[in-house]
Amino acid sequence: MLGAHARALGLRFVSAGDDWAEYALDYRDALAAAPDDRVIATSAIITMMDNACGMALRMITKGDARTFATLDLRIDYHRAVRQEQGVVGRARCERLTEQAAFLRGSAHDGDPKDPVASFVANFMRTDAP
Amino acid sequence: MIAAGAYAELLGIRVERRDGRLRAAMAFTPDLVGRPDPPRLHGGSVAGLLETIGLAVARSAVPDARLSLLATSIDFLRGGQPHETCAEAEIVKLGRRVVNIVATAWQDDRGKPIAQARISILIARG
Repeated sequence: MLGAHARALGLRFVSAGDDWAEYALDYRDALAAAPDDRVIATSAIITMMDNACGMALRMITKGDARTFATLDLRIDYHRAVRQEQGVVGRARCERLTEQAAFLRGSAHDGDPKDPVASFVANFMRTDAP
Repeated sequence: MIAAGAYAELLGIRVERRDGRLRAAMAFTPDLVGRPDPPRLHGGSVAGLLETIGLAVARSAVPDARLSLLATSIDFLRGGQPHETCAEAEIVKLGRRVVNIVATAWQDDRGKPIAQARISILIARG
């Protein structure tokens, strides 16, 4: 179910529902941004959220053979991830149209009420299955 | 070569200075693939390349400061082919508290970028 890049990072599927999906990325040193800080790189959070969006879209379009590609995304980093903490991210599809999908989500490092980042992404339908 | 951290290494990203500019290059490996058929780079790997060059450029402008990413916005313009990807960044504004950066990633044709990012970075001086 996970693609090559997701597996290379150690991303793991947590849960999904009608219009949402949740993934997690456990801490390991290879994911740290700066050499000595032992904090998961911010772009690893982007990868996690992008995967959560992709799965949320598979959930909401059950049976639809066409796929989606990320058109754009924005992530706001509310605060730094804590040292040696993994992250969990959930994305929900707010609206699905003929051409596009609009998703929103957030990531946390242990407490969903204290997110590390908020996330918005637009996906476009592709023609190929 | 400029040290860019463990995560950049995981993604196969090198940062070098050439002709007075910093450039990041991400070699293609199958570990970067998102959609497999036909193979396309995972958008997250391109995001990693853009944030890496953005931070490197910011660091070179304010070497004494502690920097933290505030926000990143990315437009994915073209699918990433299974080729090397390069990226450069420019400082749009260097403020007292915030650096605003635009970073662009391309593959075979610099005139046809695959992604572009706006990145804002917080400066904590001292």
